[in-house]
Amino acid sequence: MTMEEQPILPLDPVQLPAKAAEFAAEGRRLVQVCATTLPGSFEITYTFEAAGAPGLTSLRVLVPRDRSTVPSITESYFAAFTYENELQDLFGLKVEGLKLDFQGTFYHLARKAPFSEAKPPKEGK
Amino acid sequence: MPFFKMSPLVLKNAASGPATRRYPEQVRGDLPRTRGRIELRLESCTFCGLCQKRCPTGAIALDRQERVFTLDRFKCILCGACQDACFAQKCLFLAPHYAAPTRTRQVETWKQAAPPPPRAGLAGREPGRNPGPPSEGAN
Amino acid sequence: MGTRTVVPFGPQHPVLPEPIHLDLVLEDEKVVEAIPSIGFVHRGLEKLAEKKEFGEMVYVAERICGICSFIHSAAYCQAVEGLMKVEVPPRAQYLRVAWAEMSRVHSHLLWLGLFADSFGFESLFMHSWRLRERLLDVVEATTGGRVIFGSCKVGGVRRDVDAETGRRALQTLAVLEAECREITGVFEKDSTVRRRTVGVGLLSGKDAWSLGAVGPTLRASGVSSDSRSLGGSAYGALDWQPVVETAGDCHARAMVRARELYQSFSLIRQALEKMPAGPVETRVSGSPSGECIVRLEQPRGEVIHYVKGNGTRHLERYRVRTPTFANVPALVHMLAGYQLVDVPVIVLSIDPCISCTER
Repeated sequence: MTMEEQPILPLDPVQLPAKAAEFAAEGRRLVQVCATTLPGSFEITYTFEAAGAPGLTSLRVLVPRDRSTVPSITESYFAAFTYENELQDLFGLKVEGLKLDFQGTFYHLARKAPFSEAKPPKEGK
Repeated sequence: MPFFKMSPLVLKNAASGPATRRYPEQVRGDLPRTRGRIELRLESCTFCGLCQKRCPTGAIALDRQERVFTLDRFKCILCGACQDACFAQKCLFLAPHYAAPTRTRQVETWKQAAPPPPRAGLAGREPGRNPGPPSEGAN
Repeated sequence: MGTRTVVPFGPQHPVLPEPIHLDLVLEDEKVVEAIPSIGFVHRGLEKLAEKKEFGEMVYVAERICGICSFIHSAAYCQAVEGLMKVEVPPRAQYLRVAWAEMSRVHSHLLWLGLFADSFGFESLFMHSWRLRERLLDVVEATTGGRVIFGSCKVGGVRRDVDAETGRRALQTLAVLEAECREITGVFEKDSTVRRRTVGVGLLSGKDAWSLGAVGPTLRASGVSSDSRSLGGSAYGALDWQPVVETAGDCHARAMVRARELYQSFSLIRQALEKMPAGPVETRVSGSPSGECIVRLEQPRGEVIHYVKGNGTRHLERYRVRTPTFANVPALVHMLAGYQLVDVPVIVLSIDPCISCTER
């Protein structure tokens, strides 16, 4: 089966709002924001689709665990508020400049930031 | 004419009978492929343990020494992984009728009196001696 | 300027099948702003990928949602196949299309019923579900389950459809298609339906795109965007065109889904007739590594499955972005400016599936 092109561009968190504004000006659609918990950091992937062109372009941001703040892209993409509130609620990250901030109440959870825990040590099945 | 679009349908439904059945007096009948419930042909089970290993929810528990087979029907999600795993003897299969409703947790236990007679290798599938499940279910 | 009142809408509401909460800021009866809140049914299924082996995760993926179950499992399998560079046999790809389209028909019929219910057209609601039941019988005859198809696996599909079963399924579907025309005619032309839906919940194509809307919500606003046109599975070999409406209101969203019903019937027919003979699965060995994003078109819109493998039997990260999640910002935008009485119709028009959204 043929897979569509999906390049991933690494980016410094500081440059993120500017790059998002650039993508918004080009008329790209925000497809998803996804965070992955790595041992010492969080890896956040912002995926965009260009109108009328195949393929998904992703921006990849690495946030160290001890800092764990990331700038918001809601200035350019208001729709990102759902994803960014998810980052705050599930991963315990702090999104700076979020336009619609639920302050940790977007998801009603029994435990705070359940996805921020690193993967448990592998156990035999 | 934007009015009375629904009326023909309503009249048709009033004239034809109900679409529902008066269950349990009237049952639809089984479809051959339906994943209804797990059945076990205990006499041919070799207690190899593959079904237990493959079960994603841990609904199957085997005791090889005591030759006891335990199935927790409330944990079973009827995925059929055990049926696919049970390739040697085909003793586990999905029957097309559903388990009866129940109010209490249903854990079924079977105890095998004697191990099945030894046979020539794993691939020894003799259709006459061990009738497999209906061919549909084996898919 | 009137006094502002905040009316909580949901999580329990007669028109909502699933829990979403909206704080509606009203000025008299007019909605000024709506603030959504979800998370009542978060189950943490993505986290489960760390405990289940990648082959077993298919069962979990299929149970993310009770309506788009098959397409979730197909998307998950495609993503893992993409990681492991597995080539799925052509017959399995055609079967995946047929089952995916069956799930689209059953979801759209369910939705048309719920939509009729949202403006109180009970007999139309009942009739839509009556037709859906017949389709579920076809699904059960071909896969063995009514809602959980359980037919997808990494490397192909778990069961084949023989010629006789396929022929009987197509016969039932032909009758069903004719009966669907009766109800979609009501949705299209009936004056009571039109009065409640035409011009309600307007969303321009530009707004829909920039708010990240997907699926029928986007296509009803005149944007031709359909993940199936990427040609995944066997879609590239079949004859179809994305359904697009331009009005951008609730009626247009209903019409997109009504017209997609017939498109799906046609795709099922094509897939079952053109299906080449051959095996339905390939053996998969090894463990996934790398990362892959797959998007498929669910009845509600584009779904994203992202997987990241690290060379073990367990995935490092499994992420699902469901269509409703992407449609929530568009919903909030649509609600502003309409009457309180229109809120249920507008909320239903994006086909919200909240349990799916929260995973």
